[in-house]
Amino acid sequence: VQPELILRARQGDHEAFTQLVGDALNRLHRTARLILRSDDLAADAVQEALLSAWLNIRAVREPERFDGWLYKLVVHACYRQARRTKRRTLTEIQLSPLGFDEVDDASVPVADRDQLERAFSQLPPDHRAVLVVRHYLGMSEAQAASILDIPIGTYKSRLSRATQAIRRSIEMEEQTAVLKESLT
Amino acid sequence: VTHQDHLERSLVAWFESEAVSPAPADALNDIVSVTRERRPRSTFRARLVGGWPTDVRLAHLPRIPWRLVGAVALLVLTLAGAIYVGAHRDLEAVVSLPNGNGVITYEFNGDVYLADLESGRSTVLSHDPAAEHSPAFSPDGTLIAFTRDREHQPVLPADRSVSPLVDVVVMNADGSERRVITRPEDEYSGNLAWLPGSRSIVMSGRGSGSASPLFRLDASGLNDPEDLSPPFPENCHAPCVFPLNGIAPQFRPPKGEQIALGGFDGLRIYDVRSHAFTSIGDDLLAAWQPAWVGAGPWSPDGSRLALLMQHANSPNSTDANIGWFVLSADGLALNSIGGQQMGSPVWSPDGLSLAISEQVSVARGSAAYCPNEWWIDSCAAVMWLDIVDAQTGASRRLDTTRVASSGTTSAQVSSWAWSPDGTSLLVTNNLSKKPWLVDVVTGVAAQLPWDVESVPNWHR
Repeated sequence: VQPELILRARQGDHEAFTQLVGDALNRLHRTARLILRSDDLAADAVQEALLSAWLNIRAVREPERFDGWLYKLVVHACYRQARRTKRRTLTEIQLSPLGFDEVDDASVPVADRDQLERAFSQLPPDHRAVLVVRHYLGMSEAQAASILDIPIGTYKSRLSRATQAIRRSIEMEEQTAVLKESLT
Repeated sequence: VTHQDHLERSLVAWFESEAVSPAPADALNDIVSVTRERRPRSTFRARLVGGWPTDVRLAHLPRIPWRLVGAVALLVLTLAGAIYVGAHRDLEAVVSLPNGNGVITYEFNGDVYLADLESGRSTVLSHDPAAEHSPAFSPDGTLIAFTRDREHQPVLPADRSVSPLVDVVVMNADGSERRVITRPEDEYSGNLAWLPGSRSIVMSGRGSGSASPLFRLDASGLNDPEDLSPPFPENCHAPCVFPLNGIAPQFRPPKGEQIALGGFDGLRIYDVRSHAFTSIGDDLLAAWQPAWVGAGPWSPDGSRLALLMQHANSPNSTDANIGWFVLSADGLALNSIGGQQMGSPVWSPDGLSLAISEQVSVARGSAAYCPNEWWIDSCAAVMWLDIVDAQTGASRRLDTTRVASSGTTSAQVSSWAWSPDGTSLLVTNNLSKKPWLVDVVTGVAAQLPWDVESVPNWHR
């Protein structure tokens, strides 16, 4: 992030803000998409977050924290989207797993990806968010806790719970498969 | 390279593959058009100093920690408010319950809590940076034991089939004299269970599934752990023991010296003192031609055992082919009590009846209580509770419609525990953290005000 772009944006330079947004847009959208499991909801969340960023750009004092601030706005916009979506029936939401047909990533076997997809989709949005911030954005504990707006202790506990939930889900699936095999 | 690393890499790689597509082409245009019509808000400081280039001039001034000032002011106001409310409000009336009795301990957000259903008060008993799990009262009600994630171990397990290591912590029921009773060299995982009629705890050692060793731990921490693991009997086809839905092997009350083990060869009782196996009920069980038998919980007095059987002629593990039974400890009486595989039945405190789950298969979107919405991933079943007579098998359905829902969304009943007086069941579902207290006679249900993340454990 270029500090001069942020300073110009702070002074109301819309072109500078557009350039900042354009650089960050893809990664922000991917983050939201992982948390919300939906392209449309992710687009809404990112738009909401970036509108908030523009309106509050003058509150940014330290340019080096700009990226973290954007992620924080996106994560919280995702929470709001998830809450709003719970209150209404959606028929336009994509229900099928996302992205599997687009990439053939040999480092993740298909069976593992299917298991991860099922286990991850069962998590609530805040647990998905903690895993995304840790394993997709690769943030440190302090950065992740700041983005999620929670104390570090809560972050650790939530990360532990989310990973345990995934692990339990995978274990149950594997144990069920073993039991079925042994019975047949 | 450990499996831990493998799983972590899998998650990272999966995230990358999931997130590969770019943002919609028109997203940037939308954002630009929305923001162009608005102007950034002025900050408080900018309004004071007009059009100053604030980041240049005010950079030399000390910053006032407005957040800290605000937090302190809020804290003072909150304390003042709490003192005022506390002086003017009868806390005894906060919760109105149909059958308020007893005290429960539970886990929330990695901490251990104690709550009084009559007064409506809840207190945190243990708060530690490491996550703490599944607190349980000792049989005499004087102690609470719980597990705590051991620190400095990988976030994900080295082996998927192995649970993370935990320490066992014991404290007085009021939270005092908290102590870790496990040693650094011990390796335990899973949930704990108190041995009936004792001050000892059963823990699973590091292992895999049914092969995990069992240890008895002295709650005082003064004596060495004792290995209670049953040897696998000869001619036992693996898996020999069926841990039912992750429930630890059940020790027979009142002494806790016998374990019921199911398997393909019928039912065996293992005596932890003599190390002897005894088969019980072979003739009665054979009449049902079971493909396998799973041992469930003992009745409170140890005179009967709940067990799960699948009919031999029905190789598919569908619910229609699987049922729960009650077998007398002498092996001479066997009754069918219905129910399905999902969820173990729970004996009432007087041992006369059991609360057992009934599963209703409902496809997503096919019923009003199971909407076709994206965040519902597994709304394929709704569980009901039946109160079943242990002698006759007669049952009556408890209307858990309100309990098995969270707002307008359908849920599944996930745990149920009898109150000490046997008049109520404390029920949790998989969507809401707030449990319900259900009157087993009238079916009247009241939701408790506390967030709970473990099976609530009643003080006996």
